[in-house]
Amino acid sequence: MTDKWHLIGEEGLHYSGTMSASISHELKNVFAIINENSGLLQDLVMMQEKGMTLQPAQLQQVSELIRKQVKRGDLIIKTMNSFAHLTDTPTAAIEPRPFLDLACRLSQRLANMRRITVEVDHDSNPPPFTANPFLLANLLWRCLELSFEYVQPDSLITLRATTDDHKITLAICGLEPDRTSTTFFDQTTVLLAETINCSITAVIEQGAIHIDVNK
Amino acid sequence: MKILLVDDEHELVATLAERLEMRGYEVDWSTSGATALEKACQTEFSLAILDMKMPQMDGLVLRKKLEEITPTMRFIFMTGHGSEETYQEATSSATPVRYLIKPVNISTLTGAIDELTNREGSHD
Repeated sequence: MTDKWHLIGEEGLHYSGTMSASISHELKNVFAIINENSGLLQDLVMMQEKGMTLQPAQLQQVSELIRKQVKRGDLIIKTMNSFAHLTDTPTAAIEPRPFLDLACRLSQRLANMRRITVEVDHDSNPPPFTANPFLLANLLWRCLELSFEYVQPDSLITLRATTDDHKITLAICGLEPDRTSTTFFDQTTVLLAETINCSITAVIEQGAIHIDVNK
Repeated sequence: MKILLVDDEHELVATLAERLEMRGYEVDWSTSGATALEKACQTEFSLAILDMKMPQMDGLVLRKKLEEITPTMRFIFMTGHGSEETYQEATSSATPVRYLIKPVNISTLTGAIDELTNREGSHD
């Protein structure tokens, strides 16, 4: 294995581990909430056995809470499944908007831990392009994680896909321009970009990081 | 005896507080470290139950700040995934603490509360 692939492989394992750990933490919280509400139902039944009247509205509320958490858990599992399928093929047609949606869902909890919100701009929807899905997702995460250092808490980072005649641009927007520098991409990030024929640029005046994929 | 419960998962903290109140505990709760500190300035809590991982201020940092406000406060940590590292961090202080893995069994939790506050009684 060359040094290049050694670095990329190591980074890929690290990325997979980070995402899997984050997903498992989210699922743990879902189970913890379902556990408490199941326990609350048992408490209510026990209280009824002791002579207290059960309130249908309270049962309805607990049932609704459990339903909401099952829905949340289902979305987490779907995200996990989509993440796992990024490794299916070394090249694939990528739909920009769903791809950004997946990156957003994967990073949301990690961003929230820093009191940062990530959202996708759904106004633009460029056509599909071809790339290595896993390596591109890894590159996008590295740029996104880097961008967390260039915003204040309670900030909003927007992911946006745009296109022109030559390229598709995946943009991470919302960085503070005066805190953005052009020299902050580390060796592994640059290597990842080179491997999948992308260019990465810090667009200081726009407070954005651009990942350009040639058409 | 008052208990402060802090976890960023609103549905978890609200339900857990309700279940503890059913068992005779006086509980206030918060979904952020900042609000928890405000509450601790207004009310003297005997014990705090803290989530280890929370946005901006994690459970360990929050404990230090709460201890500055109420030095006699006791602590129970809840965590999604237990690890040797977080266990060591949580239990490294001279003050006795308890460290529980989510989902938490209510009897285990009330047992830990009673033990740390020298309270007697069955709450199952």
